[in-house]
Amino acid sequence: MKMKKRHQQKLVVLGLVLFLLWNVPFVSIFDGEFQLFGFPAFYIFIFLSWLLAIVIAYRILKKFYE
Amino acid sequence: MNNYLLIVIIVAYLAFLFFLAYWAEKQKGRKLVNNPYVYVLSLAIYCTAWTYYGSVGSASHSGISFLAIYLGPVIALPLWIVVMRKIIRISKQHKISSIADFVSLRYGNNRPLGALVTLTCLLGIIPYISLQLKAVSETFALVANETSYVDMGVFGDSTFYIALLIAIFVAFFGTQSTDASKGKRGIMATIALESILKLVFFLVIGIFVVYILFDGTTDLYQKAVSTPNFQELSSFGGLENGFNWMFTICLSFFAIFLLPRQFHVAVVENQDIDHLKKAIWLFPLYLLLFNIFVIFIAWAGNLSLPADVNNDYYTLLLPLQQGHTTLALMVFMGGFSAVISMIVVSTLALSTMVSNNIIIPYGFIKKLVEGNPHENAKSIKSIRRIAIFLLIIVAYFFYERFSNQLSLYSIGLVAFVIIAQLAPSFFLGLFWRRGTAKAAKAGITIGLLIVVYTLLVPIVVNALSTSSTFVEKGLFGYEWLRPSQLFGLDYLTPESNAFLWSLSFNSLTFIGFSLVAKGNYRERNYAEMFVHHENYENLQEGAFVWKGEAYVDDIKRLLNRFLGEQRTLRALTIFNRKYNISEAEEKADSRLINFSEKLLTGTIGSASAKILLASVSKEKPISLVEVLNILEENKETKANNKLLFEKSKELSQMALKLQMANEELLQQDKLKDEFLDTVAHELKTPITSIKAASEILEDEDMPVLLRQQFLENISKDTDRLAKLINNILDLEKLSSDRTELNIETRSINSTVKKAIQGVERIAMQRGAKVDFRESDYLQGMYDEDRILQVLTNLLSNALKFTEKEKGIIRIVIAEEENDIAIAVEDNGRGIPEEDHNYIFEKFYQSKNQNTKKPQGSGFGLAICKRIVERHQGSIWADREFQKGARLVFTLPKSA
Repeated sequence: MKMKKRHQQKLVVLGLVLFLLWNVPFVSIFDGEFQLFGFPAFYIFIFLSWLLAIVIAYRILKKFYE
Repeated sequence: MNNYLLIVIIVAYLAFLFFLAYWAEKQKGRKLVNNPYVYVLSLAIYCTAWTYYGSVGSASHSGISFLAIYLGPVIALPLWIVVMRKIIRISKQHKISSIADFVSLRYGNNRPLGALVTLTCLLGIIPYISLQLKAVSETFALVANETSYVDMGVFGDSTFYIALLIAIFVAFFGTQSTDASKGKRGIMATIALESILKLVFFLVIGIFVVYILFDGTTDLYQKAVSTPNFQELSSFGGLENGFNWMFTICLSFFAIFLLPRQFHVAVVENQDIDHLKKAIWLFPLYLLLFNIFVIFIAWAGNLSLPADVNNDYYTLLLPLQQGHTTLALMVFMGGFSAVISMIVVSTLALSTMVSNNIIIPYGFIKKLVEGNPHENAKSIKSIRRIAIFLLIIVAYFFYERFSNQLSLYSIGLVAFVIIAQLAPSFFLGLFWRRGTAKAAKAGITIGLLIVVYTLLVPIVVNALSTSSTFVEKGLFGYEWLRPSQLFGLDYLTPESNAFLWSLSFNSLTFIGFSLVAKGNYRERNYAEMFVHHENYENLQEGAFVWKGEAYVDDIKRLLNRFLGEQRTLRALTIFNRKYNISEAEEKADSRLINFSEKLLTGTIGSASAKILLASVSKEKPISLVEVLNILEENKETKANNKLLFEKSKELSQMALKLQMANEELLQQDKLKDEFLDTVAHELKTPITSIKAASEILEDEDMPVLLRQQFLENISKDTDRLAKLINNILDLEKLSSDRTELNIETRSINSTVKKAIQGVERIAMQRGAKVDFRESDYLQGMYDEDRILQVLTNLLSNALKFTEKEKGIIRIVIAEEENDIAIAVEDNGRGIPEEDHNYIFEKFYQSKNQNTKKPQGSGFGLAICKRIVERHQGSIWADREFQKGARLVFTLPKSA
């Protein structure tokens, strides 16, 4: 099984985006008083982006890893 | 809970793990133990007691920082598709069994470097193992009885026995084979099970705390908001904290690659590189599940437990406080699973490193060279077993002496900082060819010294509780040399501080040294093999450059000592066959040297393998330029061979095509000759009869009636001639697209009926029945006269080939997506198999006609084909049809 370089690079970009997103200054945008179902804003941001990253990685791998 | 009952449960659990490992070892290669899920779950040894207990503790007093430990791996996993694939490929090719092997091999199989990497790992991991033992001991005390822990000496401490049992487990299942690069399926199966248990139990306690002790997450939040430091716990904090946060993410990013146990499960135990496909998304999901409830348990503990308990054990104390002993026991078993799996894999990986990178190359190698294969296998296994026990015992005493002063969270991070020192030589080594062994050694050493100064010394000083001026005031009283605030940076945590300075100096040293002095040819050879792995992978042994003198017999003798005669013979036979080398060859070449090195690497480590092979061969040093030239040459030869092979394949395909075209041409030529014969014959018959008739007509005494008869004959024959010539012209016009078609929308039913009327008379004469069932009203786009020509031709063919009085001819119309298909079937002899390809060719006449003289001109079907093709349709004979012939053609439907 193989994956084309172009599609591998999509995953690499995903990693880079996560690194930028989870560090200052981006991460401090979501640092507020807000809460949803008991999760403070900061955790909502981290957990949601985490989940999204999993879904994206899953989609990319399913489609292009053959 | 009763002390003894708990011990019985623990022993029963360990016994179960033994059984499971034993069973899984027997299932080798089966789907059940060799699948991507086991791989993903074995990666989950990343979650140790530190995750299980320490995260909650950290979340309860310092807020978000615990999360950074998991974000690093989540960032790293998508990159695995490039980085980990490369690492696994290289490791499998070189039979690498640990991270020390990997690093030392990259830098030219450097013995001191392997030892240095091993020492670094020991320094980081032994305290880490102690931390796990500490967690077992403390949680044991909490669950067993609620009175505080009583020190009864080493032999009264159940943790000591647990540690010993774990050591036996690893020693038994971890040293089944002398080849350390081989997978240990038994151990991996237990790790996978433990990873499931720890996650499930952690989720169970999370749900218990959130939904039973409290009324859901929102309720917990609302109650926790009023606690004094809540704001601090639930938010990110200032920009300065952002640096600590980023450094922790970097630390964990490196750790997922570099921790010996992670390297072991991710690389050495990888059975199939495609398992990465699942791991890349599933492992982050595992980590996410593990982190969902952490903050809530932490808040719940802060709310309902007294301030003087150890925050790390909120998960146990909360159910115990409510009297839920069984639940507490479950949590304990989950934590215990996390501990065992971590200790098992860590000691397994470390013992291999210690034996292959320190003990064997620095001491035992001479003894091994003299031993026989059986003894050698035994001593290698003993070395590893002793290393396992020593590691666990040292860790135990470290725990006894130091761990009281430290929390789970801080020892874990210290281990990460130490392991991170391998990062520059590891990652740059993978992607940058110039890195040299000297630079790697210098970088790691400098990094370690800085870690010791900034992090370990203050910890030891604190643990010994002697106040020291230099920790508080700096070395020699210089403020800027204060260990945990080096250069006056005062807002970093001690770990971040140590990470920043050690890694900066480490990387700078590594890069600087590499640029100042070039490595030797051997380093550069391996650098090429690692960095441009995809180019050299196909070359395999050919990627290793070596010049000198060595004899096959010497090498064979050497291999015999470690692998035994049988395995050596088998390996060499495979090798000779692969490179097409004669069995009688006496001199060894570079490929055999490299091949043998790899064979030995799994058993005794790469450094020792190199030393051993050097002892039986005389290597001539070569220059760096020469190495690069040879590599380039080998690559080119390989590429050229591939190119040649492809070209010759192409040529033979072309030759085949030409041959086929030639055959076709010959066939057509033959058909043309036959046709000319036929035409000549056809033309000759009427002409002869015209000639005869006209000669007779010269006789003037002929009765009028007879004369009339002869004139009629002449007229008939000229008609026939004209028809023949018309046909030839017609076909010619159709072929060269000179005829205009009169295409209109028409009803196919009425066209077919007209055609049947046309042949009705002949059908009656032959006693054949023509059957046509009208289809639904269908309209097609076609030139009616031409299609009538086609239908008439097909029908008269069908009549011609059916027996008299028995013929049944059927016309069927079917509607398709864009076309109408019209089939004419008969119950005659059918079309012979060999004729199918040719019946639509012009000039063709079947050889098997039952009349002596061919009937018809041989144009009928050829004209039909042209007409149908001019209508954008197609015509063919149905090969499936058995009871006669079925000819089908399609016409476009009207829009």
